Amino acid sequence: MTRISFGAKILLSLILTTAALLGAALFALERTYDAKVEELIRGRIRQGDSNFRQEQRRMIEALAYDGMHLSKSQRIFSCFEEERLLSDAAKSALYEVEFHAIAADFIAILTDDGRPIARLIVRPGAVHTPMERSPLEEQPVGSPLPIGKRLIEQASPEPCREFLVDGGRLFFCEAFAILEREAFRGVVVVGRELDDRTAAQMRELQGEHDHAGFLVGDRIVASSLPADQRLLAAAALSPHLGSRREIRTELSGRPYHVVVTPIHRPGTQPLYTATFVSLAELYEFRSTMRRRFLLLGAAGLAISILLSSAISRGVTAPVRALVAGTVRIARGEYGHRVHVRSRDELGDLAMSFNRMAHDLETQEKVRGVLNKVVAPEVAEELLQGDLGLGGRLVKAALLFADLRGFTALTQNMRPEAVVAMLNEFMTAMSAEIFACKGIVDKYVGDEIIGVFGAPKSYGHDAFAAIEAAHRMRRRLEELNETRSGRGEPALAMGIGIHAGEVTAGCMGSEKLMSYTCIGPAMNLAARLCSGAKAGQILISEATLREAGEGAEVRPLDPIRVKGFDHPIAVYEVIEVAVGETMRRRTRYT
Amino acid sequence: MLELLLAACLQDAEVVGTVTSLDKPRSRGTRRYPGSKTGEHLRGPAVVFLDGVPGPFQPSERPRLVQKQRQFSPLALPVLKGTTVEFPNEDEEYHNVFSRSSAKEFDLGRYAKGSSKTETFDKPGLVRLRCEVHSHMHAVIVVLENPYFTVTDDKGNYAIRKVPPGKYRLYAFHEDYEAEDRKADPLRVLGRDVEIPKTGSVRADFDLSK
Repeated sequence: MTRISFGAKILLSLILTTAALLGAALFALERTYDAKVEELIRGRIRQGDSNFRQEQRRMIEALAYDGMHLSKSQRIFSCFEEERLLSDAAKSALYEVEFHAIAADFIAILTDDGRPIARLIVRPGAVHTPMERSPLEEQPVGSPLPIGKRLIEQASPEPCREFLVDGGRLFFCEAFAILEREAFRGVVVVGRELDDRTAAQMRELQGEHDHAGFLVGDRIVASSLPADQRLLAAAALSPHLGSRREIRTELSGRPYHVVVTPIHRPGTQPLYTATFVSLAELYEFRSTMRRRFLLLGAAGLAISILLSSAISRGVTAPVRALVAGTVRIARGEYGHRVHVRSRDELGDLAMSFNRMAHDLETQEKVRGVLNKVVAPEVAEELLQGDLGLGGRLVKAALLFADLRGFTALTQNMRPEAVVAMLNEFMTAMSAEIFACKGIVDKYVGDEIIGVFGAPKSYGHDAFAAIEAAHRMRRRLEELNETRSGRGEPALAMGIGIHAGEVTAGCMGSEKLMSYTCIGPAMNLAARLCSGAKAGQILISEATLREAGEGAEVRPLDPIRVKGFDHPIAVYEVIEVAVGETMRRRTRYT
Repeated sequence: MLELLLAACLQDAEVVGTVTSLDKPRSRGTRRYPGSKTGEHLRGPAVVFLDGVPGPFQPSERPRLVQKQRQFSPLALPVLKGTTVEFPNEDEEYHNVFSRSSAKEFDLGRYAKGSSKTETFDKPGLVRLRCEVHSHMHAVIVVLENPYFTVTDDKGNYAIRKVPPGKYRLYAFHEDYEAEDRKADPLRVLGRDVEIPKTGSVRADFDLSK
C-alpha cells in the first residue's frame, strides 16, 4: 500500500465527494430536463393532432356552406330534368360558385345512381381569400366516386365525409344529397384541398420550428417542410408507415421527432398525417444547460478544492505537529510542546500530548535527580519499585579511593574553591567507576566508595573494580596536567579494593533512605585504601582470586584488619588492560 | 242519376272525377332519400286533360302566373298551345323565373316588384318553372293541344265540361308524381281510355299513390 498523507486523504475525500455530488446533480438535472422534454414533445404532438382535427372542423364548416348551396340549386335541379341536360351540370355548378362565392376546391356531381356528370378542380396553389379565388376548372367526369355510392346506399342520413385522392392531390370531401322536394335527384361532392398552404396553416398553430405534412402512400403530397427536406422526409418515413408510429430522424441536419398517423378511410391508397416536432432548439438548450452546469461545476470544484485545502491544512498541521512532537519525545526531547490552539478534538489531543510530555519531562527530571543522587542502576531498581527498606547479602567488589594530604592541601583554600576542586575530582573518578558499570555508594569528603556487583552484577566484578581503579589513576594524571596548566597543585590518590560479601540495600527510614553496603568487607577495603600511598592501588588476595588473570600485581606485606581473624594478603596493581572487563563481559554473553 | 238526367238535357258530355293522394304522390322506384326533409313545401293540384280531341283551337286567355309570397301561383297551369302567359312579380324581392324544359326553355332574368314579363308557349309539353333565387319555388305549365283540361280543386275533384263525344285518352298529371321509367313522358304516366257519349257524365278517378 502506497503511503498517502493524512492531508491528502482529507483533500481527496472532499474533492471526490464534491465531484460525486456534482455528477449526481448533473445527472438528475439532465434526467429531469429529458423528462420535461418528453412532456413537451408529447404536448406538441397532441397539438399537432388537435390542429389536424381543428383543420378538419374548419373544412367541414366551409363545406357545409358549399354543399348547402350546391345541393339546393335550381339550376342544378334543372340539369336532372332531362338526359340531355345532365352535361350542363358543370356549368350550372360554376354559376352557383360565382353566385354564392363558393370556395370549394373540388366539386363533383353525380346522378342518383352514382354516375358522375361533372367534375371541377381548382388549379394547384389555390388561394382561399374572400377577395381572390383561383378558378375551378372543368375536368373530364372520370369514374364514379365511392363517396357518392356511400351516400346513396346509406340507410340513414349521416354526414358522408372522406379523404379523396385525385390526380395526386389530396382533398377532404363531403357528399350532399341533391333533393328536389323529397325527390332524390343526385349527389354533389364538395371538397377542400389539403395542400402546402393547409400544412403551413396547421404548422402555424404549433411550435415555430415544427412542421406538418400529409402522405399518400409513401409520398408527401403536402407539407410545410422546405423543398430540400421533403424527399428526405419521405425516405425517412416510408419504412415506418403502417400503424401510428413515432420515429426520430434528421432532415438537413435538423433533428425531428415525427409522428405518423394513418387517416382512416375506405379505399386503396393509405393516407397519413405527419407531425414533425423540431428537437434542435430543445437539444441546443440541453447543451447550453450542460455547458453552463459544467462550468459552474468546475468553478464549484475549484472552490471546493481551495476550501478543502484550507480545511485539510487546518486539520493536518496540528496532526503533523503532533506527529513531529512524538518523534521528538521519542528522541528524549521531553521539553518539546505542541502548539495547537483549535477548540476541537485536535486541541484536546494537543493538550493531552503536552501534559504527557510534561509528565515525561518531570519524570525525566526526577530520574535525573535520582540518578544524581543514587547510582542509575539503583535509581532504576527504585523506580521499578523493587527496593524497599532492607538489604541482601551479595558478593561484590568494593573500591575505596581518597586523596592524600587533603587537609594540608585545602588548608588555605577558600571553601568555594575546595568544593570546585572536589567536584572536579569526584566527577572524573565517578565517570571511571560508571564506565566499568560500578555504582558509587557514597562520597565522604574526599573519599569515594564504589561498588561493583550490587544492586546488579554485570559479571567479573572484581576485575571490573581493578580496571576502574587503574582508569581512575590514569585519569587523575590527566587531571593533574590540566590542573598544573591552571596553576593548581596536583592531587594524590590512593585506592583500596576488596571483593567479598556485603549486605547491600536501602538503609535508613522509609521517608529518607540511601542505598549502601555494610559489612566487614567494607572495613577491609577501607583499610586497604588508607594503607595505599599516593598513586597506589592495593587489592586483597580475595580480590585477586576473584579477578583471575589479567592484572599485573606485586605482592606486599600482609596486614591485620579488625574483624578478620587471619592476616590479609595485599597486592599492588601495576598494570591492567583497559577494556578487558568489557571484553570478558561480552565474551560470555 | 239526377246528374245523368241533367247531362242528358244538356247537349254536351263531361268528364268528372277525383284525384286522390295529391299530398303523397308516388315517387320513382323505391329510392327515396331516407329522412329527407326539405321543409314544408306546397303541393300543387293535379292537371287532368284529354288527349286526342280534334282541333284546331286558338288560345283565348292570357293567364297570369304570379310570384307572391315567395311562391308561384297557381302551382299548376295548363294552357293551350300558343298561349302567352304573364309572370308578374307581386313580391317585395326579386325573382328570376326560368325553365330548362324542352317544351320551353326560357329565362326571364331578375325583375322587381311590379314588373311583369311574358312568355308564349307554342310547344306542347311539360314546362317546369323554377326561380333561380328561391330554391323551393316551383310550378308547372302544361302546354296542351286542346283546351279540354282542368286542375283539381282543393278536394281533388275535377270536371271537364262540354267534351265532344269520342274516344279519347284521359290523363292525370302531378309534378311530383314519377314514373318508373325515366324516359317516359312525365305528362302521360297516369292515363286511361275514355269514351265520351253525346251527353252525360263520365267518371274517372285517379290515385296518385299508385
